[in-house]
Amino acid sequence: MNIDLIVNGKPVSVEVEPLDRLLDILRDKFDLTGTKEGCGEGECGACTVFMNNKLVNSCLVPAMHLQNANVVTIDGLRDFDFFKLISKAYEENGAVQCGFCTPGFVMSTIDLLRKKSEKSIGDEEIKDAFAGNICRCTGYEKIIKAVRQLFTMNIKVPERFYE
Amino acid sequence: MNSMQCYSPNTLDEYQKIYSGIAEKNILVFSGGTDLMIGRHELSQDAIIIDISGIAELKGVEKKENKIFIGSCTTLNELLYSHKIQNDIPILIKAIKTMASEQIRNRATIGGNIGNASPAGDTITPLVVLEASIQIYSPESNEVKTIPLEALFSGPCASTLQNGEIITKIIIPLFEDKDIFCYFRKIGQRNAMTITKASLSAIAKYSDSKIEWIKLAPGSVSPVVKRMSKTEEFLQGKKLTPAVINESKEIIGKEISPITDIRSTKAFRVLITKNLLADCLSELINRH
Repeated sequence: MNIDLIVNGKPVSVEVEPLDRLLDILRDKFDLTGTKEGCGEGECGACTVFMNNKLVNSCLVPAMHLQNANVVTIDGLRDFDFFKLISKAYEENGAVQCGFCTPGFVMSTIDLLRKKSEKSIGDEEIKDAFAGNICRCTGYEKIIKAVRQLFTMNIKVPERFYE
Repeated sequence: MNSMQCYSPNTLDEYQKIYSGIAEKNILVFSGGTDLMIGRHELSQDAIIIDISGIAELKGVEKKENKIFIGSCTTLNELLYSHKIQNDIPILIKAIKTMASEQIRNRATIGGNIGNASPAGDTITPLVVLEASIQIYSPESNEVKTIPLEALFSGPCASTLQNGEIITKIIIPLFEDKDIFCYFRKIGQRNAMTITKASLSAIAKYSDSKIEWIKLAPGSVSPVVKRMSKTEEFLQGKKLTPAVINESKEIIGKEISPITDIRSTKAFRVLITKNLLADCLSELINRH
């Protein structure tokens, strides 16, 4: 089947099988390799992207659901100012070790930042937001510290991207 | 992967037409896909996918005549953020908050959680204590029937759905009385993103230091989710003394029939179910 969708603001058209995974389409057809495959079953969150402005595991989205969808991946967010601040906060707090989970954690961080306007956030709320992301290096504490710091910085994250 | 045939109806009528046109009836009904995508390589290559996630009449939450109607393809997050569910069915909110992750809740549907018929399905136990019913559409008779939710389950991960039948709505009767206690707690390997080893849903009416009535449904401790009628009857009309709580724990321990499997052992599940009941009853006392 042929599907038309928008990826990182660009209209694209691609030939797929109905149950092909969004993850493979992004990586293999569009070379968007910032989105990683960890577990391939929705547990680890390394493949997290926005689809129609909602956080999803791209390993669980079948191609047949992508007709006219708007997909935003970590590669499409690099040039935003807020992204640079997130990147800096992760670096400064040692929140990146092997780095494989980082794209997924950053996507969940962006979702959390844009949903919450308050300047402070409880650790429980951060942990809830990261329920779908697994990190095997940092022990999470450094990632949580980075997010806490980001919340003090009054960062502007748009409610929608490329729409 | 070979080419699979797939249809995406926009209405139940279209679903019926597509179904009628498939001779072999080897169909795979697909919605959020959070379970099916993981096993996609094991799916029969001859299966014909009918993706019902685009059928508008299967989406959303409606309140009519003191009942809540939930479309089966409504996602868990749509329910979590629904004011109607937050106001009227707090026990379902408690359950969904413990389920999966933001990423999965944005895709997984309540109809999928129910239709999967797992004894560990976390939306099932709250709906069973609420005495929910479900509407089922049959493309063969082109009719909708309503059955009690509990009648859907015929065994672990086995449902009574057949011949292209799909769950269309979940119907939850509401209480006139707003002062109803509700409880949901689950125990898993960890807090986040975990499958239930044992859980308990309860609703109760408590007055004059006594339990007027209580409805209990534990998860993951019997082949199908069911009410604990013996424990409920024992507790009815009782004052919650330590002796009564202890006896109720023994009764529920005998009423469940857990097994040892990959996630937990029989003994642990019995112990946890008893403790969940004690936790529920102590929360009930402390609230009043």
